[in-house]
Amino acid sequence: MDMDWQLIVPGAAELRTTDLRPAREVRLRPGQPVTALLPEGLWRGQHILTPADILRAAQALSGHSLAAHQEALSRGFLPLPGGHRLGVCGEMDEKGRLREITSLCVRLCHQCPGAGAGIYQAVRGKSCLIIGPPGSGKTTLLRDLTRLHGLDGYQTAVADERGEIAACRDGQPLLDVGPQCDVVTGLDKARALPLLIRSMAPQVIATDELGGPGDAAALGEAAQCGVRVLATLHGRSVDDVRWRGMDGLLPLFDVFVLLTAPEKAPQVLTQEDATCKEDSP
Amino acid sequence: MSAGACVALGGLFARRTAEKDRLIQAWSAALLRMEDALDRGDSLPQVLETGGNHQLPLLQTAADMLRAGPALGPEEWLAALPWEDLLDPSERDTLATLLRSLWTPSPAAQLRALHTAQSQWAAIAAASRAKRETNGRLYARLGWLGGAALFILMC
Repeated sequence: MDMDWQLIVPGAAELRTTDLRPAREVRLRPGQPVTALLPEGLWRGQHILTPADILRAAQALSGHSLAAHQEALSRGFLPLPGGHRLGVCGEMDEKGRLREITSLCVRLCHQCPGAGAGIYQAVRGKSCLIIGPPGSGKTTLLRDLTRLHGLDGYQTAVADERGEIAACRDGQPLLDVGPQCDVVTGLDKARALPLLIRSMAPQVIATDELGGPGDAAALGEAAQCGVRVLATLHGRSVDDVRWRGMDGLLPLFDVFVLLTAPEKAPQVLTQEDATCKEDSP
Repeated sequence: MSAGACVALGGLFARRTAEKDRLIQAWSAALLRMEDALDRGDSLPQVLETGGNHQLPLLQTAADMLRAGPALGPEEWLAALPWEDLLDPSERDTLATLLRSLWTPSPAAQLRALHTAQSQWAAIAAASRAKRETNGRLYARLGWLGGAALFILMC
């Protein structure tokens, strides 16, 4: 779903002549112009945003349902149709509910069918951890690897906690996660993985952004059941993951895919490669 | 003829008073329905549509305008609404303040604004009912009396 930024921020006349479709994220802050992270770099508008502009944009993006989505907003973001994500920052009350909005960050979902074709044979039928910094294209690659496994005849499932992998709307994935794919949305991974294994008996489960308290146990249970897991994790390298105290996750995966930037080719490491790398001086 | 016009004028005023009272009472009911919709966690267009319940075109239009596109901010939206002529400026202000407040992201603030509007509207509704009972009858009687007086004078 492309967003019509000209309608969302009508005060910013420069949006009539600027194409923000390729942007990875668009930020709106009061007292500053619209900024967008485009492939060629940071773009800045001219119109200085007011708090009224921010509120209008937030309500427009959420379909005038900000108040109705307090639970999601108390976690800091609201999933939007098309797999996009509206991050909201502002004044919260003592229960963590949003009172006033001060700034917005819209993370735009880009589907790239074929993004995982180059590495598919290396990860096919294996548990794979995709490691990369924010904005490096982890979710895009994860989605495409899930799609390719489905096309290859695997029964796949997606534990889509934040609604970014499949972007389900009215029970149907808006993004292509391939055939033979079952999606559970909104549940944390610790509950979603056992549920999927029990109910849908998948061969491959895809899930985004590991790091929660029960994630390692849920992945361990999946491994015991012979289910392969495709997952993503914030980080810059396998060592970075170890240093951040998440080394318990690493033995659960057969291969690691390292991403540095969306335009750079992913690097595939086996478990042995990753161990050797750690042992080398 | 003048006597008849006098009677008709009295009837017209009485009918307008009754119509206005019906509108005020319809808004009272709408505010209660909107409270239910807010409690359910409905989106703003749904809240407005539930409030309107096919009886108040203004609320239906307000919901349709929000659904149609994101271009309107709260002030442009309020200005573009088809406000009923029967409402006084102070009554419109009460409703406009409520509708503006519904743009807040806080459900607690939305409910507070609705409760304030409900209490203000309760006073408006009580005054309207009293006015209908006294003035409505008065206008009709004055029309008849005026008509009768004119008839006698002309005869």
